[in-house]
Amino acid sequence: MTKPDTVVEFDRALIERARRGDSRAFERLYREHVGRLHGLCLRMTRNPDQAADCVQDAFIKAWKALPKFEERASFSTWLHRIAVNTVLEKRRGSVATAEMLVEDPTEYEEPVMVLDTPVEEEELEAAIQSLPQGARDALVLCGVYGYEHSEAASMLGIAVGTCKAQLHRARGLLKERLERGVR
Amino acid sequence: MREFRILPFAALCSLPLCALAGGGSVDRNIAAEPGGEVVISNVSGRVDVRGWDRNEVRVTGSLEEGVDRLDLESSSGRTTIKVVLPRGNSHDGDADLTIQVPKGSSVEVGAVSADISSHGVSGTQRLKSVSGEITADVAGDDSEVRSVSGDVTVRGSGKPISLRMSSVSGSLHLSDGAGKLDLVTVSGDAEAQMSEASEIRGRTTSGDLELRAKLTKDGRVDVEAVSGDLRLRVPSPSALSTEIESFSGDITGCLATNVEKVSKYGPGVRLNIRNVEDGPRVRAKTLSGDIEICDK
Amino acid sequence: MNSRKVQRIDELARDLPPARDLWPGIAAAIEADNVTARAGVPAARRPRWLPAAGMAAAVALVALGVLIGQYTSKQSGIGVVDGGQSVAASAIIPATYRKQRDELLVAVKQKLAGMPPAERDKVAGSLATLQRSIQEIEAALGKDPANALLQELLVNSCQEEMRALTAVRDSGRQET
Repeated sequence: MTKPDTVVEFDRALIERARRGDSRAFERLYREHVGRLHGLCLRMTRNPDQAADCVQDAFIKAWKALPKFEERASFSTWLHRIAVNTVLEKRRGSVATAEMLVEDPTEYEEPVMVLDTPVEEEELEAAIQSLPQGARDALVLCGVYGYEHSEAASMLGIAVGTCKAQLHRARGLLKERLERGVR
Repeated sequence: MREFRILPFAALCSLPLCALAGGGSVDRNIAAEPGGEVVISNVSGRVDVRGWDRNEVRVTGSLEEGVDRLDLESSSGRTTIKVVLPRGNSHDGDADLTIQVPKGSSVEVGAVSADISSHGVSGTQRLKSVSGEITADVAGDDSEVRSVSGDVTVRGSGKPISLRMSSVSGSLHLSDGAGKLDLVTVSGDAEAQMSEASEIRGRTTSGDLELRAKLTKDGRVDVEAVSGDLRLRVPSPSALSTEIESFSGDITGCLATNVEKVSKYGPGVRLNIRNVEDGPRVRAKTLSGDIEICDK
Repeated sequence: MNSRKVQRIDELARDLPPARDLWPGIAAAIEADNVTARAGVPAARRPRWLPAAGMAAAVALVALGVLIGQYTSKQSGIGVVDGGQSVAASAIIPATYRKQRDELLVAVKQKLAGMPPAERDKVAGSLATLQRSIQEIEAALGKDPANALLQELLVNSCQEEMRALTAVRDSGRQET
């Protein structure tokens, strides 16, 4: 997930201007990053209205926290971290559904998930949406957005082992659901 | 659909066509069926329709010089009264007419700038004016009262009928209504009071719409405004379900205890209350108008 | 429907833009935050004419003003095409409707020209109100194309416009 240097430099210039209170610069950052952020929120919340709220909350929090942003870090990752946090906060405010997961101490160092046969994008998205919360979160962050286990675990506030176990579970459930054609 | 029974005494009409020249008073009778059809057209002036117990149509009034003639004709259960102006003159020449009709008649009146009033008619009525005002007692099912720029005032009979009222720039007023109502206006205000309502549909663009109607157990209200306000007082025998939304207006009233934002940062508020699926239901939408709703 | 086929999870699109532009809400909150921050200036530098109790109202007003400004601003250029009709509105109201409407308008203008002045002004005023309302809805839809309420209001308002135009065109036809 590395960007060309010119893009990174451009981001840095915008961030610097935004830090000084330039909201138009921040709008440029919004336009550049909103697609990815919204994709992440939508897949985690499964609800377009909630996803829109989370995106807006995340950007507002990012604006306020700009002074704390460390320039050597990735702005995109930092933004995603804020967004994931926002989604999790909203979940904590609603009725929690307990997920029983036995943490398997085995290291799951599986490669990115490859399906046996190609499937339609829509079908795969629907299958991901049908996954239980914890498994879906891990799959979206690691499988779709390419975060390392440690990074995803940190974002989700769980142990690395738990993240790996959730990912393993997600893969199994996904394969099963795609084979059955269940939505 | 209206049905016209042809009765034996229809042949009593001795004059198939009565033509009266303009400039003077009018007083003519013609036999008519008790449940027949009466069709009246006038350009400007006044048309006052009154139901009575006789099986005849009587036309009284006055015609100004600018009127060419008044045509009066009756056959096969249909009586036609038409004010004719000279060719090329579509405005000058008032005709002030009082027309008494069998009270069970179905009545159709078309006017340009003439005002229309109607009382004591129990059949279906179709009253249309372009700029004239319309005031009518309406008791017949499937009735329509329409104006382009004139105001429309209707009093119902308290018995359920299907009624359509519309205007482009005039206002609409209904009292003592019951049954089904369709109310449409663009910039005029609309106000309706109904003792028993099974179905109400209301549309306004910038005018306000006020509804006071007791809904039946499965009554339906569907009203919409762009910038006009909606004020709905709709008691019902059982708990009301609502689907109410405004893009930038407010939702208030005794039922508005759980108004929620459609989106946290965007505009839009809604009030969705779910009760019995087949129970009374109100649907109300506006762009910027406010919505006030109460079930008491 | 032709949906793309994928064989890897990471082939799924990462960019899924929202159905409507979320920036206006963010901008309003940022501006409100800026106003609050400025209000936090020490009392000696605070304008004397703005008492502390009015700050909340001032913040709300500014936020609302920015939000309204963003929604009505033509400069945002979101989804606006030539002629002022938004891309979203064009997708909802077919070209055949607009053609029929334009044809009706020709007949209506002729009818209006023949009306007495007072009545003409009244009716023309109502038709103009309808047109303005439709434009208002189209503008809002341009910024929030997936908004079901706006779509419904647009369709119904266009139907009402056709009804009103037809009523004016046909008015007085049978009676003269």
